[in-house]
Amino acid sequence: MSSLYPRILRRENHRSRSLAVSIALSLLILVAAYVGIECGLAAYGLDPLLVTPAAAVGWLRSGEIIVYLAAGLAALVGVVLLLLAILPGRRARHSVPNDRMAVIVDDGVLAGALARDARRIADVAPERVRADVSKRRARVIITPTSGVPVDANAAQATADGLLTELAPRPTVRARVSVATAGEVGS
Amino acid sequence: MTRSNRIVNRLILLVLGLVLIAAAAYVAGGRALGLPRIPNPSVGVLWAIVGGAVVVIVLSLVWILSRGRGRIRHLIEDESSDGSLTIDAHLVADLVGDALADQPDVTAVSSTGFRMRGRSVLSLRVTVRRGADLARVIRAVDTAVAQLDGVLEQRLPILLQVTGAVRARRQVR
Amino acid sequence: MSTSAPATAVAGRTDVAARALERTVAAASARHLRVPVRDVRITLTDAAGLLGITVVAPLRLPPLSGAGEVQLMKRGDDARSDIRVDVERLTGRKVGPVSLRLTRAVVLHEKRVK
Repeated sequence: MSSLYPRILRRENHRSRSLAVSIALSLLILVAAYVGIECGLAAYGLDPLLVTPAAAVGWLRSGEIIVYLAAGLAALVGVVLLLLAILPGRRARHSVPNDRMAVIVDDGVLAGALARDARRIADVAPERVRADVSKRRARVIITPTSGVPVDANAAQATADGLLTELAPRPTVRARVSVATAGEVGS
Repeated sequence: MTRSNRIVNRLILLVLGLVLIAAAAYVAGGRALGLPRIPNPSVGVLWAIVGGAVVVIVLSLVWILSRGRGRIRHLIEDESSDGSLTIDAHLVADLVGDALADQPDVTAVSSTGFRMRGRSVLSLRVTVRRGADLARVIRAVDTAVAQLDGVLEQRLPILLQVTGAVRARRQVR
Repeated sequence: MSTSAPATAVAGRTDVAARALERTVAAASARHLRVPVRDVRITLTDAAGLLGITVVAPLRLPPLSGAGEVQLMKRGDDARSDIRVDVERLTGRKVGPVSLRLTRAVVLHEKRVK
């Protein structure tokens, strides 16, 4: 099992691009089938389904505006595919060390846990605390109640404590800030 | 999904992307750059295209059909001379899901199995509420899994995913 | 059945016998797995002259916390041999391989109000 968990965690933390390739290849099959059929029909001198290859080539050479638009669209799709190929596609998750299991936690869940602790420390309503978690940083923003100061140091310590206890990987550093403008009412 | 599959996926996307961009550039600006005009489709060219289309379709189908491997339903299989005993991943998930029923933060437990390096891995997905006590949930799963290890008399590899979003898949609860 | 033409009579008799056999095996399986009969799926085959049985069904189990000494694999193997003994006794046929596939766990808590 010792070599299994690192592999599993690596696989879970990045997208495989499997879906993108499935969609791309499915469309490619449709296009290739159509083009193949048209060319086959033309090779036999039969009537085309929609347009003959010769007519299509003529249209491509014609320099009409719509040809440029189509080319632009194709280039755009090509760029999207390139990006999908190159970008790492990191998923919004972190792994949490555990003796027995491989544990993966959504960043949203981590953020929720941080927000919950912050809310308890600051003693404000849930909607007054916002938490975001990215690859290496967590931000917690507390909007205090007017006239009721929030101990920022205690809040920071609580967040750091939670992150130390859970120890998400890649390591996350939290920054807890208390908004200068509070809200009246609890 | 193996490591090489992931690399192949990205290569496929890379090639498709480059081909599209090159084709678009050729059509839009080919003549301006002094490239030859798009050739008239002679019979030879037409058959070449048909052949190419067939190859593309076959390769694409091969890839599409080779997807989705790795998922298994049988987590444990024990064959003997007088038959066999098979345990589905769902049974194990039922046990764990029941053990987590007392946890207020857990809203759903679902499961699947997959094979990696010749071993069957149980994949548990636990859905929790917003603002859940994460440490407590993980501890609860730890406890349930420790009991499960005793019941199965073996320590299965387990992947635990803690998520906040609900996916419409088989749910144990 | 006795008034139909010979060929149909033989076919009809084999069919009923096969289904009755399946029902017997299903009932025996349901009893040993402690689950309702309707959740049990049985497939009967010939295994080198012996009766081959495949059972696909859930299994009643105690909750993990109270499971204590439950050993799942042993429980499954015990169920297989119990089914084998029962079917041989009830049908008079010799049973070959018994393949048991446990699909779900029916976890029943005693004294719990849901």
